[in-house]
Amino acid sequence: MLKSHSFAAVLLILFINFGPLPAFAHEAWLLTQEEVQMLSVTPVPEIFFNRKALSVLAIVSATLVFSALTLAQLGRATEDRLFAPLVRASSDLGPLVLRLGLGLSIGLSALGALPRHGTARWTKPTLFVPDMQFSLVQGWDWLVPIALITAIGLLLGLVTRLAALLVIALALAGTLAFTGSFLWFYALHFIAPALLLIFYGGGRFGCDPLIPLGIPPRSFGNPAVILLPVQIMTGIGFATIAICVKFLQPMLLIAILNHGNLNFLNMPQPVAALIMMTIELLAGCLFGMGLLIRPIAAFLIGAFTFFAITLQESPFLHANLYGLCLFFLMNGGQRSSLERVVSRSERRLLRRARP
Amino acid sequence: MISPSFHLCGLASLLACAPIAAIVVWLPEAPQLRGLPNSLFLTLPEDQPEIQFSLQTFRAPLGDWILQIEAQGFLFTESCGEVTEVGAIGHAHVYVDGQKVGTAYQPVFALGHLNQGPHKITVSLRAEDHRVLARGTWRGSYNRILLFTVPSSGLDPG
Repeated sequence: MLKSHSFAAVLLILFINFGPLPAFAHEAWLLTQEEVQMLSVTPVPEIFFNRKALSVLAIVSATLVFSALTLAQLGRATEDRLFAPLVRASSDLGPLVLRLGLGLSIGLSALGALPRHGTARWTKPTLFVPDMQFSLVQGWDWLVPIALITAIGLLLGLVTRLAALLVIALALAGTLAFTGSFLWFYALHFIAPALLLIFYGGGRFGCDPLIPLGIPPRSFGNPAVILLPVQIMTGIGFATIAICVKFLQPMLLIAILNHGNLNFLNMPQPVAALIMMTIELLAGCLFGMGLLIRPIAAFLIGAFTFFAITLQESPFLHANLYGLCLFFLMNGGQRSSLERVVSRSERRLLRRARP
Repeated sequence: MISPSFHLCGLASLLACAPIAAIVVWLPEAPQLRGLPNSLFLTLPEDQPEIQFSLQTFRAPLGDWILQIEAQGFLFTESCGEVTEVGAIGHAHVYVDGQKVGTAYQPVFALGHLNQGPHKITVSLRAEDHRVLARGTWRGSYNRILLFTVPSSGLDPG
């Protein structure tokens, strides 16, 4: 019954033992040389060593998660009713948002339009994210035209499934070109939407239905086959970043909060950073476990937008995640076995309660 | 009677928060918190001789500007990749007025044409995997700034 939850939780705990993987962190995209210099002389704040404070945070987290899960169960019928039209539309709109998100982030990166701080726009092509500059690794420039062709295919919805396969190939090539951390920190969030596109195809709004090659524009089989691994993959991506880049390197996030002059209810920045890390980790765990999919997708869209505005980042930096979250917001994802068990139990109770 | 939903929601909450519980136990002891963020910095050992590091600019006969990076105790290399042994070896990232203009794999770097007026050149020593070289935990990184002005006459500012 709870095999999938235990699996996800054990998997996430195992990640803790990896420690931070060396090289590259997306927090460093925005930092200026002066901020990096400041970071090199600033020790980690005491709160991260304070077991009592961390325990309070864990208890509050568990209470909030319990409340959210209970509320979600109570509001399940309303949610299903409200989102029913979107679920129906998701087989056409879902592939569209996934394609646009992936195509924009991969294409603009390959054109050098999304560089890291201090690098002129359009000068250094990158793979998926600003840190992965092709100029930093020798002999991998040939991936740039492939990334551009992939992006065009995705944006037009032309041979979408092939383009999605190319995204996975690029992710694997990127892991070889850069480091293993590329796969855990970034590639999972590109492979996940690509898998959805392989399953669902380009949808009604792509060019695939126009070409006479017999490419099926619609999905095939039971969506659960693909939704569950995609949810686990997406969850693992967020949880890995939360543990390896945030919890184990908290000064990076604090430096970003300083960089953007972000103020959360006058909270000390280390406390705000700790809460943000916890939320990211919880979001990853819950998503991976197939719980609260829609609320988390909506929350993540809000969070990406908030940070894009406050840090003056390009929203296209997270276009792949916007696409993925919008898809899950519409579709609702595959409910975990827990939610199905709860629904069954409640139905049984209701039947018994009836005269 | 408590509904089975509550039991299962409770169980799910505990499972979802298991990584947070692991962090409560483990984080205060984590060695990673006792050093610089290692995704950004490569920290040189404490017994590593200090790198003596300075910058100079001069004008080439054709009018372009050249940057000379004098870094004693640091070895420039063209090789980039995974760091297998921690040491003062790597390259330098060069910034002009806050924009990265290139990577110096040798102590001499061509800045090219610079417009007349004041400029700020920043050089950051990097490891072979492009991480910032740090001189030990919380003792700073190897970063130098040179402020200079390109004169209207085009003469070397000295």
